[in-house]
Amino acid sequence: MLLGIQIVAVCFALTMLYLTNLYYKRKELTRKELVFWQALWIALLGITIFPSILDPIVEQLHFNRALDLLVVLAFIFLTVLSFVTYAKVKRTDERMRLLVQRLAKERAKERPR
Amino acid sequence: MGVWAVIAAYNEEKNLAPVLEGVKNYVDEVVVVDDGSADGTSNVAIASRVNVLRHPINLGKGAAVRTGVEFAIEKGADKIVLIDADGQHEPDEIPKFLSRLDRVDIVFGTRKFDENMPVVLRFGNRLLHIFTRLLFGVSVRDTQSGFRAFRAQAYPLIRWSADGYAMETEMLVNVGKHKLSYEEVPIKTIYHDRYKGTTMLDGVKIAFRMLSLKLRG
Repeated sequence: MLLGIQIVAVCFALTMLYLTNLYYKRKELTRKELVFWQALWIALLGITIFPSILDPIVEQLHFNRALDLLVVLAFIFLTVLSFVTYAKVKRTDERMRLLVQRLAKERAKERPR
Repeated sequence: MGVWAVIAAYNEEKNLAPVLEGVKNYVDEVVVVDDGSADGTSNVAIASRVNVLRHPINLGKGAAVRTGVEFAIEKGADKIVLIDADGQHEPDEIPKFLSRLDRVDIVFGTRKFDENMPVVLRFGNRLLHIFTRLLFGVSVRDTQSGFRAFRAQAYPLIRWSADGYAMETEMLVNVGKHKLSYEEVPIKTIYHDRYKGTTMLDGVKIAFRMLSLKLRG
């Protein structure tokens, strides 16, 4: 029987699967991105329903429970994702600034002589 | 081609026209950079027959002034005056700046630290003055004043990367770094809108930026 936390995780994974598919249909994700994110949510679903598949790793790394390992992995994943997002936002910001300044100069309205 | 005034304006349709009329008397050319205003700022500037650049989106004062200064230099400016668009500065004081530019690279306008200046601004400015003096050896009492003038040839050395209000402090930091010559000139100031301009949060951001610039060397 599924525990409360497992039900929440399953609902979350299913919602994310649906959203990933929706974004792909809207052409906001490439096929590669679709495969990556769907694999991630399917893995989460599998681990949630059959947590025992993690037992060998849990034992190897001396964690008490599979949940502890998942929490640590989630933190690592979020940290990496935050860093990548930060770097991309910074780059986009810089490009946008250059673009805006170039547009302003190109469309300059010079004083009538 | 002589003296250019660079004015960054954001939603200043009400205040801009008299500023432009005043400034035009003392400089050869004026360029207004409309930093993505939602009102008729650009139209006011065009009607005043000055050069107008428009940022399609709001980037911040630092970015707008940079766009304007670079445009002015491309057009051959050799002296540049920066003045605020909201009418808080007196264009009649521009000659005081220009005469000093004959002997120094950059001239900073310094407001009176009297009861007219909002308390937060007075306190923040004093703190930033101490910071810039200790960290960069530049002693300018009014670190946040937007009324300044500099020689175009000094621009590559004082060029700031900040998009917002930290530009003023970064300019000071660069003056210290490159050991440029500078002077202060007392200016009158009229405070119109206390919800515009540098806020306490901006002051904190500026202080952090100064520290990061110091650490970067």
